[in-house]
Amino acid sequence: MKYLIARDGQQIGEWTLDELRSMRAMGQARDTDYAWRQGMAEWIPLGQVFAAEGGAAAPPPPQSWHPAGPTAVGGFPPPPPSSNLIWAILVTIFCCLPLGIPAIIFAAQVDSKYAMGDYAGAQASAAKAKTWILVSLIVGLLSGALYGLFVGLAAASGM
Amino acid sequence: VSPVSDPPPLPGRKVPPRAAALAGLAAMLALGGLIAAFPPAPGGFYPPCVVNQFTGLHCPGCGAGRAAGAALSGDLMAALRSNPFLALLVPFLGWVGLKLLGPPLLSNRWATEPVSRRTALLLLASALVFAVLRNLPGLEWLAP
Repeated sequence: MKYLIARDGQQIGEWTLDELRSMRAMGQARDTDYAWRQGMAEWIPLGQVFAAEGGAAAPPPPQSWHPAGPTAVGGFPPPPPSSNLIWAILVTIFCCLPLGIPAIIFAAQVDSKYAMGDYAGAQASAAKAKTWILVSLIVGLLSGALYGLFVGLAAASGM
Repeated sequence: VSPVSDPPPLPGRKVPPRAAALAGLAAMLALGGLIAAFPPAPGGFYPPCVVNQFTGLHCPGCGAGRAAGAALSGDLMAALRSNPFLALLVPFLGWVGLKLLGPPLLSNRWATEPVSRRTALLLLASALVFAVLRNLPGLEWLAP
């Protein structure tokens, strides 16, 4: 029975469990990759497949140092939150708003915190980045619309 | 014999709802229509840049509206003069737009980050360099 393996949102191949064991030993397959085979309802972390299939026990997964933080089933890392960094940058350039700067700072923290295993911190930064992006966008659009309305009305009334 | 089935959608980053993507697309088209119908001009009803109003400096987005207006009326040289950075970035911005709108419009449940962290930071760095350059004496042709 072969497993489909996915990493970073892409399927990367199909291997048997034995092949995957030797690939993991060589560092080519990771416990954080997702695996699926016929009959399974969802993709699960490859580490869980190893743990379930017995044999070589999975090494302890990277632990978050925020114990209350979100961890996926079996202690494996949750999927990375969206950093929305591109949105933060586009909003800052096009709305030209100082409000976009905190959005960029928080968005830039998401991936580095996730990479350090601080999943809760990554999610918190992602949420703050999202808030600042929306605030910048709404303030930018609203003030722009109000300005246009005011100037348009002033022109219409012959000022 | 169990039937062979396709794998379920991959886990990954959450995709925004389709309605949000449609609303964003509609807003972009409406703004494009407004700019095409009433190209930005001095004394017009488009809001001036806040940073420029308070500091007198040109930000990397200054001239974007005039550039869009010029481009939509077919005057690509005027678009380049108003904001060369954004005018030259149009193909890239179009590609980003496709990556942002594609997954929600196709109702995909997962997607990779639309733009890699490296590309996004490169965009930010070039915008900052452009912002510095267009405010330097002697480089006024980069200003809007």
